[in-house]
Amino acid sequence: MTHATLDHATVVEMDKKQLHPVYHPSIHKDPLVVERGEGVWIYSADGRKILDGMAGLWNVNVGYGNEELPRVAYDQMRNLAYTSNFSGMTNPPSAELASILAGMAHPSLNTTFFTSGGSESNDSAFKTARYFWYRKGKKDKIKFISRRAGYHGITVAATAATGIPRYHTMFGPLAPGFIHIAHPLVYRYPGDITPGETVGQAAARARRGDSAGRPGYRRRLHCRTDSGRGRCHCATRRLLPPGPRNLRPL
Amino acid sequence: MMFGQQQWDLRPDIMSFAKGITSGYMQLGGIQISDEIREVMDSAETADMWMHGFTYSGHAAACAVGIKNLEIIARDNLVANAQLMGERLLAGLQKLLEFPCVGDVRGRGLICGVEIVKDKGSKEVDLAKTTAIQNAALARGLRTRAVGNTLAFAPPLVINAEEVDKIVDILGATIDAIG
Ligand SMILES: Cc1ncc(COP(=O)(O)O)c(C=O)c1O
Repeated sequence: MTHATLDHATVVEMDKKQLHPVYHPSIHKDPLVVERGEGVWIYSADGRKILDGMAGLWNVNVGYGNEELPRVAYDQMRNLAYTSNFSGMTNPPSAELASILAGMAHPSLNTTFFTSGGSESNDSAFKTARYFWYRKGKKDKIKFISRRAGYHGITVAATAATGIPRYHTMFGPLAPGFIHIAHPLVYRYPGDITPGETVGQAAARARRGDSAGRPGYRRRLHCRTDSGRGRCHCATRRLLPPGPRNLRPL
Repeated sequence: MMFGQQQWDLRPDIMSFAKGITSGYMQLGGIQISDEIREVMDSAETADMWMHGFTYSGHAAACAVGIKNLEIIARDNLVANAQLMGERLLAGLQKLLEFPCVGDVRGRGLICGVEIVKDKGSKEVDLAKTTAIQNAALARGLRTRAVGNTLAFAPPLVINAEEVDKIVDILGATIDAIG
């Protein structure tokens, strides 16, 4: 049976047995049944052609319907789809990909550990950071600082790192050790930003009480960064530039 | 630039990645660690070994797809295309700022966000209208995603100019119809 032959109504009926991510029945009454894709286009079982402005979930870089990727997947699966990769064993594709990635993102990043997604990656990063300090004899160096409004995934630790209260409310208590600080969205910054200045620089200037800064911002900034308490100014997630220059001084 | 963090002068100790490494054709992600962290692992006693890892860490087929995916992105100059098309998309979406409900349009590379507000002055978020625009755009043949009151755009890196313009046209017509 090929899945492409199932019509819209059949899929929707069978789909009632599936629980989808971030689920509420009101947004899943009439799901879009995506049957195939080509380039930036997806095609639904009820005959619609849709430009996918989101590349799935920000990830279908080479577009849909690529023929080279399934070919290498087929060849690799015929040879060896999977076997244990725990210490003491390895396989040619994971070794080759690690060697390709060595130094690619930054000269200091030469070792790669593989996961199956972003939440697993972030949990791995948190545990590895704690491991590093444990090994350095600083067992109490366990805190993580993340931005309000930032999304980091849905595992227990990644949920705690995520700075969006909507993801927390119904799943408490949060994993301890995660602190949220203000986000760098220019549009939502309540003070004045002078040309060429980042939000972080403007906020720092406001805290110092320089004339161009808004005097009232100090209090508001405090309540924003006061983890878990005070009024949150960003109850909804927005798309933000990471603004790492603001993070530097931390 | 292939990695977002390369846009700033960062010195990462650990970098998480996932999503685009296989273009979604297989599930794969990971972290990269600095030489300093690696050295701490290599010098540990066995009692202190790094007791972490997943069943599917280093999945052979997923990694094979990852290798090919990186090759395609380099060979087909997709990073340069993303930059070019991203500039076109941002410029196009910025024209929508003339609508009263479009409060902010921002972007970097081929990721853009359009904030929907009740009032440009107060910047009060309009979640209901954001969802309404998302759904109406889909009915007109464009998939975007309401992230809070921001409509997100991050199309495949292979997108061409005509398709970028289509995003802007459909979104503009949708907002025009909804008001
Ligand atoms: C910035 C960021 N971090 C983490 C994640 C979580 O990744 P995953 O859903 O693969 O676990 C996402 C996914 O949307 C993300 O955008």
